[in-house]
Amino acid sequence: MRKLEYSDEDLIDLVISGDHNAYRKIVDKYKNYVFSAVYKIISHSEDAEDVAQETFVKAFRALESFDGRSKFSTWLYKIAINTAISHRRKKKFYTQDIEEVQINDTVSIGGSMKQQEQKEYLQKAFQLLGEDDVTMLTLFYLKELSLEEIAEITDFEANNVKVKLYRARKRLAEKMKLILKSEAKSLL
Amino acid sequence: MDKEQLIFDYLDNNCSESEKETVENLLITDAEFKTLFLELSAIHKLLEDNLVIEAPKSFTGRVMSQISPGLKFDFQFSEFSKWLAVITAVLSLIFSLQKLGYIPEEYQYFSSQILVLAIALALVFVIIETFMSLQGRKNMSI
Repeated sequence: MRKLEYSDEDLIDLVISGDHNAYRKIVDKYKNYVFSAVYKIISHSEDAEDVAQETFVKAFRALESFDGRSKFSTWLYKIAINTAISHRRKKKFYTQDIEEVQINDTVSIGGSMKQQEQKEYLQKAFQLLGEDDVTMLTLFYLKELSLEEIAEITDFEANNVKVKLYRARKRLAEKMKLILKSEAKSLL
Repeated sequence: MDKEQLIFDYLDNNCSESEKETVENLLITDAEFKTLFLELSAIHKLLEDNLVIEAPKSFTGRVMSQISPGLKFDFQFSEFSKWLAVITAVLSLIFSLQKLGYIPEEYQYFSSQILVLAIALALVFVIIETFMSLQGRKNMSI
């Protein structure tokens, strides 16, 4: 009988044994997470798509070196984050100042922002944060990775990750306030 | 522990029973703490709800074409378009059989003009979807 659900390990074995089509299932499973993580770091949709694709191509080519000591997703996110960060450095996507961040729509501060507006404002706030902050927040909220897994992906100590995550959230809250305040001012 | 750290731990479900109690008491007794709590929990929820963005529709196909150029390009049509393609094929078959005289006149329920019109309409829908799908990458929302 044909197996309906394959584990990551099953799929990896199939790919390594020559069934390249099995990799399609892996890409389908993780594409939204990888694309989102990369997009948060790069803040440019077309570049993010290229980098997310590059991530999957790199992972495919290195699949035989995946030793299974960590989860496949952890290994894949590590490739994604490193590729995105090196792309960001290469393209010199520096952290922007509040004045540089353009916000076109109006917003109500009373918590009734629409989903699209929320995403837009969140992305603007991310653009004001540093590389480490964006990486911490993205990994923590994207797929509920544990602090240990985040430590493995980022090469930081687990204790350090907790502190960095706390600071990143604090800074994000400040940036969000700043953006909303500047937006409110522009309405006056 | 500072108030913000305490709130984040509470929101992450990562605090002890006594810390949980402290947060819940402060929410009742300390208005400033309550404001801070509401602000941080709004940010927490915003992150939880808005971080995942859908990858473009043809993403998988593009990755697959890079890793195995021999594999067929994976273009994703909607269910609607798939059915339209089937209907178009059936109508085209009926049309061809009618034209070749394989269907007796008493069984020709559709005129050639109606068949051509239906086939053309179905093809237009399929072409529009193909075009929109190709444009999807450029017009992708955040």
